[in-house]
Amino acid sequence: MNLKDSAETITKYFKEGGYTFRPLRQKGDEVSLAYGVRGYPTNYLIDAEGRVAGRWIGFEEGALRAALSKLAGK
Amino acid sequence: MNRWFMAAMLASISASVQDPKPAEADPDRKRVRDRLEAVATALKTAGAISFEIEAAQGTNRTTTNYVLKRPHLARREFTYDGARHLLVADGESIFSTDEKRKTYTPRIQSEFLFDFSFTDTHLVLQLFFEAAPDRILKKQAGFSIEQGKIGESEYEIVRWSGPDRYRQQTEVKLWIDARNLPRRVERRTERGVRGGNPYVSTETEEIANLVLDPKLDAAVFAFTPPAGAREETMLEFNSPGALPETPEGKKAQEIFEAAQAMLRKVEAVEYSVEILRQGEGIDPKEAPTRRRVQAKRPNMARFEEASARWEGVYLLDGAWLWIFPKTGKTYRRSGQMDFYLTISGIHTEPYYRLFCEKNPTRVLGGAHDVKVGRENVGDVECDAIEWTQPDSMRNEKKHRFWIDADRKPRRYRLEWKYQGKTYVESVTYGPLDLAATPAAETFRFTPPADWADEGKVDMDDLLVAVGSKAPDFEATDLDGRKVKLSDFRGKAVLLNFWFST
Repeated sequence: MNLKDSAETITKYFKEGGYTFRPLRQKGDEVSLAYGVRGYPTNYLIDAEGRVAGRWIGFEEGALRAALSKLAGK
Repeated sequence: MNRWFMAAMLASISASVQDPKPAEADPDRKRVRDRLEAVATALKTAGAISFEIEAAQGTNRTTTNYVLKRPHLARREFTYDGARHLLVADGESIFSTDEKRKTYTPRIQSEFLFDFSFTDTHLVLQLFFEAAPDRILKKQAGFSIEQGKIGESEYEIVRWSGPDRYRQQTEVKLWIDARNLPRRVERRTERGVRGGNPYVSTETEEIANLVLDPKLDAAVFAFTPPAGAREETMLEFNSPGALPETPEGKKAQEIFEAAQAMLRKVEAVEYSVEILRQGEGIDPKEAPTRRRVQAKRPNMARFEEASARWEGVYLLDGAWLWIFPKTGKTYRRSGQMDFYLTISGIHTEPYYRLFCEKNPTRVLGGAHDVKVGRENVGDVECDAIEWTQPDSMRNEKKHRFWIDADRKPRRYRLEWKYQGKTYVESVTYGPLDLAATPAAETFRFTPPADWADEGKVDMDDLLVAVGSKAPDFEATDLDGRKVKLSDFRGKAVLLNFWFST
């Protein structure tokens, strides 16, 4: 999987959905460690109550859509 | 580890998610699992078994003879392409030999089952030695049991499907007879798309002449090297291709063998290298990888590495290869196979293999266009050896190795093309210590009790569980502002963790 293509795809997907993307910088790798990140890309969807609603390694548009639908209560 | 990750604030969604329901116990899964358990139990009555596997994959057919004895003795023989292949696990080592090549390769016996598999761990071996149905059925789905016939005999066919060890979707069917013994295994794997059509490969194994507690000759698990065969390490095995025959090629080989001769005189060696990578997608400001190498006969080595991506240790302790990071609480362990080091990139420089190889070095195996010249590294006069060589993927690579008059390595450069783009690795050697006496602890590693074995967990298992509280964190955005996850309460957030490009 070409990571560069995925970055563009996911950015486009979110831009179209009207979502704001913010690159964040962590200290060392403390956030990556806390989230158990070993492979890239790793994605987490966190709900409004701060709980993990979904997580997956790799970019799967299907998984993302499913998780977002769940969140929207569809 | 990448310092940057992305957070997308999903401003338009603020609904809360339902608590995920606990996974229902799948009754079909339980039934299949119980049947596998019954097979393992039937096999457990025997201290040893012998059987034949007649395998078909497409139009290829091979017959393999197996003899297995607890706790971990094994013998496997088959004929392929007119040559006999033999593998013997004698309790301490695994020997494999190949009639056509007239060589044999001993390996330390560990991660036993892995050595037996070339595609997937053999079901019968797994059930006989491990008896771990849960491990076999991990991440599998689509469970079913039905009746079927082979000839006039009735069988139960258990079926499941899911990702195999290479994450390819595979459907497995196992025919079980009335005595709960395995009779046939069929595997259908989706191997992607060929010519616009999905490509599915099917392997069928007929299990024949299965005998529980066969009468065994004492010599069945003893390995005798075939007459005229010579011992070869995995490194050498993985460097096929003839040594160069040209005058310059022979001169280059002489220089490498002189370096080898020096190394043969010592018990241990220590040196360090700096590796600089250049190419498309590689940050020109990326710090070089620093690696410290300590190697001790007969088969121990420690590579301490610090790169832009990772800091940790590769350790060969005489039985296992351990890989563990400087920070973090996971480790990997695998059978001591030095070819693993080749694919992991440790052998980016050739000097370590000169220490290991038992026969005249095959660092120039398959090399062509060999040139030997003189070139200084700094103010040190060196012989500069240049050659072109296909790697294991048949990708041609250009090598250049600078070695001084004392036959100590000074510099190494590797260049290759991938998808039309050029990549270079430049290695600078630090001082070499041929009188090194590394302490025994250097080659020992005991994972702390709270560390996880990555081999026993999936990458997915290391992630934070669905339904649990997402760990709060503090990070800095592009404008230097501090951002906390808890700042986003009331909104859904997507976190992406990437490699930097």
